[in-house]
Amino acid sequence: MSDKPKKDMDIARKIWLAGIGAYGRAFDDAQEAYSKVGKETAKIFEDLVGKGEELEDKVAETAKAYVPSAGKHMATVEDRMERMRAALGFGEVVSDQQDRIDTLEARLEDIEGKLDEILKAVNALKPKATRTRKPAAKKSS
Amino acid sequence: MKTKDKILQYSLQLFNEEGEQSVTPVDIANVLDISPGNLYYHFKGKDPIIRQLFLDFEEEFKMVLRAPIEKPLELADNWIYFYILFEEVADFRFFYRNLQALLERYDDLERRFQGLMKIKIQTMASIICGLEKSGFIRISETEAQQMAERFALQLTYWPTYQALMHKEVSLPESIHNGVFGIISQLTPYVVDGSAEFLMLLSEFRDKMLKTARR
Repeated sequence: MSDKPKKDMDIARKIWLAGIGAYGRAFDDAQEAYSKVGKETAKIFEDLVGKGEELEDKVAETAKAYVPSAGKHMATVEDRMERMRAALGFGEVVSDQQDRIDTLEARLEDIEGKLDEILKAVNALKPKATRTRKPAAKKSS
Repeated sequence: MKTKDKILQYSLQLFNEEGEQSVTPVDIANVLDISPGNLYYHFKGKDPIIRQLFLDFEEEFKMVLRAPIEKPLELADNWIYFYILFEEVADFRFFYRNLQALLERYDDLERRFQGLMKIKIQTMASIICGLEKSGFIRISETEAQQMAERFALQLTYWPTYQALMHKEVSLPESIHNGVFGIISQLTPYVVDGSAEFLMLLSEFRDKMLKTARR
């Protein structure tokens, strides 16, 4: 189809090969760092790095806590690419992920706290009207 | 999480693990620890659950499939992207494994699944075309089109094949093999260093398989 000069091909080839090589090499180093990433194990792919049953348990736990049903709430493709790079063994991405997870968790806790306060206030005002809706609203995030 | 979303999430998990045919609405209610009546309030049986699961899956998968059509992938990301495609299909494997029977049962979904298949082929064509443009592979248009269809076909029938031939293989292992099975087909088209390409690819797969088995 296209007829690129050899120099361009060389560069492209090197990037691709370097990419594959880097994943292979970085993989071992990333194993240890990766084991610290527990909470972000939302998708089955975390299994790929083979952390065994321990991780599988965590996957099940966190899947319940964090993953909404498939669909609208799904992370963007770019986010998933990033997570996949981490799962396949890119060391520095793993630590970036951990930082992001920590930040998000802190924010989530903060929001949950505020939500509880609001719900309490609302319930105090209208105990009857909100009684049936309260559990569902409290759990959703 | 809302009860309705929980029902969908746990149903999907049960269908994937046990097979859709052997799961009853009562099983779903039991796993969720809600009464069958409560389940019925949200979904009138298994059919609407399966329909809703399909629509959610369709929406998400379309978003994933359109990404490389809208914006070409970085060369080194192509590989990562295939893992995401396999992950998508794996998440909905109960449907893929029993594709023909389910599409016959829900004939309105057949058209939608055909649409999904067409986007899959377009996505594969975009990826192959991107690799061509970057100079990494050289391939004729006819072969590129055939390859795109073959990739889409392989991805779609991968769960059926795995269930038939490699029941004992774990899902992660099976995904590593699946991605390798697709990407390694680029080898003869790699412009320079195809042997090196295949070697690196094989090494990576072996390493991943070894870790996945641990």
